[in-house]
Amino acid sequence: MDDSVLVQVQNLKMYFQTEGSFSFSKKYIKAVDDVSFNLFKGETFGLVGESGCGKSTLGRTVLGLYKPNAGKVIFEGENIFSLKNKRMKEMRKKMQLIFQDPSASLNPRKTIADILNEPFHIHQVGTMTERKGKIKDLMDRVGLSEYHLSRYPHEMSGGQKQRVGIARALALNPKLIICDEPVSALDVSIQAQVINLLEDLQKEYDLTYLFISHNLSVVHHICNRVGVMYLGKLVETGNHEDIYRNTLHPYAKALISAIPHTDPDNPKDRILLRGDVPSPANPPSGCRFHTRCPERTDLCSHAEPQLKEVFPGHFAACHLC
Amino acid sequence: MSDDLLDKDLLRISNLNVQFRTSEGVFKAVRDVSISIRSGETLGIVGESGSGKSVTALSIMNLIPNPPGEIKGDIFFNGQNLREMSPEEVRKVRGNEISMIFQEPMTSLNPIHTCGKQIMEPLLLHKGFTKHEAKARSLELLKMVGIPLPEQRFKEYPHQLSGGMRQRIMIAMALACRPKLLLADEPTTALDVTIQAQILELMKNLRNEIDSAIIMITHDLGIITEMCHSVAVMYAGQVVESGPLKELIREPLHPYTEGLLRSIPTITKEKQRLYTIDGTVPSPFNMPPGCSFQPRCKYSNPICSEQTPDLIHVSEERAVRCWRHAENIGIGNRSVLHG
Repeated sequence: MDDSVLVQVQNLKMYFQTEGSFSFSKKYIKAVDDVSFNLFKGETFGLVGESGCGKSTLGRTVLGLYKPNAGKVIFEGENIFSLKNKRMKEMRKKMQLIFQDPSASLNPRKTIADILNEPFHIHQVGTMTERKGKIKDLMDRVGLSEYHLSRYPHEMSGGQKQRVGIARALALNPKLIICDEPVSALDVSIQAQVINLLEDLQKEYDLTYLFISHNLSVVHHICNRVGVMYLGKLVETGNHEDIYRNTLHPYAKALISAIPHTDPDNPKDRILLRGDVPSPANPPSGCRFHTRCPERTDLCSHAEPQLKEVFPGHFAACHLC
Repeated sequence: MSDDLLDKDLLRISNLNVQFRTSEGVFKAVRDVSISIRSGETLGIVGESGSGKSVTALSIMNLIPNPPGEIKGDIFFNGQNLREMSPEEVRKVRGNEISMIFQEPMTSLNPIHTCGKQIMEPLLLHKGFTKHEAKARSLELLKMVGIPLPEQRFKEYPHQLSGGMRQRIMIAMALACRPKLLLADEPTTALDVTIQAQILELMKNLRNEIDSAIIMITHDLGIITEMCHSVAVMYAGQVVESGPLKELIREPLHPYTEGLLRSIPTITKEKQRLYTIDGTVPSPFNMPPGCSFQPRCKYSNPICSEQTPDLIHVSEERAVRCWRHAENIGIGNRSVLHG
């Protein structure tokens, strides 16, 4: 395997059963349907798409929080789904998650010190004094003071709580951090602080981020490579310059043109999509985007396009590319 | 203010103060806000959570519960003071001449009534339509906001529709009586970007069609840039800067506006470290002395923590609440709006 690859995701499928207990009546929501991509060491890979497109499910499946219906996640050469429990627990130290809602992801009955002690306690790392020192370091690193250690989550602001979430994710020196909408619950002036912090930490600890967001401007800022998802499928991946400047897939084009711009002198042309995102329980035939696509052809409604390399390192799943 | 000016403005809020009495103390949500808007104009109110923008909108609609809320100040709509009207009179204006689009289409529609019934309600109440007329007009509205199969949607309940559809229903309801003033409180925050683009386009078209004034409340400067003619920036319950959109974006005067504009990542900006405003919004129970932005401000002077600056007019249309500009203009010839 190539040394620069940290995680290989291969043909991952994650279906959720919705109704029916007999095999003939079972129905599935195909949240992630045959997704493959690589995460390179030290990069930030952005995953964008509208709500319900499966980006969070994909992130959680990569962490092994769900057992997928098919496919592999190869982390440093080992498929995490074939690991025994004890080995998997070891592996979990190397991959962590930062959640969207900092208020909901911190236990309201524990102090910040207890919350940050938990990773060490679960994995039986260090003595009490070592842990205390490490927790102080972490607090310092994410820009919080020691005074906050005895506080409860409700006594802190949203930005501070998200910093605690980040400190907790960093506790066991992970290699991969899945950031699931880490700034979307924060105010604009706090967003920039947290984004800068994430960038600093990445440099300092040589972290790899899988950055899930619906905010394309934030993804543009922080990511090296971007993957665009639509109804459980990756429709386009590539370097961030390729995705934003040389967009191939009609959905990605519409998504990027829909970002409100902040330059009043240059109003831009907008590709307006008609209709809503179809239900993932009953995705359209052929290309899943054909019902809303402004450029569709007859072929699109019955043949499903495969992700293919259109330019070096720039993949798209569209018949027109 | 002269009567002349009052007549030109569709809505003029002057010295609005809203405070809530809570067990933790008095919480001043809105402090000394004065804004005005003319017909056909779109005013954007931008600010972070807790800056008082939604409370301002709710006070216009007279929807602040009292107690715990206490409102002071005047709200002139079409020359009449809404604050001096009886509840019955206000009810005639609300939903008729002034209507509001709420942030969450999921929670602001009544789940036990069909969409059609909810759109018909203001028509039956305010316009004296018969049921038959109201239904015909509702179907027309549904078509206007771009809902496919309006006859079928008319009979459906909110839970059967997607978020974008529900927001369209909200817009149809708000537009039913052809309001002169439309308050849109974060109308697209709960929606996806492609649906947001659809809704914004729809609101722009409707504005041209009905020629109503819109107050757009949002934390997203992108939406403001796209939709509005003029902007008021709110911070900690006060308007800190206001003016025409282009001038304000190109040359922000208040340090908070400047910071806000510089800290947003955009897809046109070069990849570089984001500018940050240090610190956090002060707690409403523990406001800093003087200017509320002073603890986070990089230009802060001794005077900033001693005296609260007034909102001063630096030109005909632009106003800013900052000591830096008060000094530039000179105390002698500044025109104080209020203080």
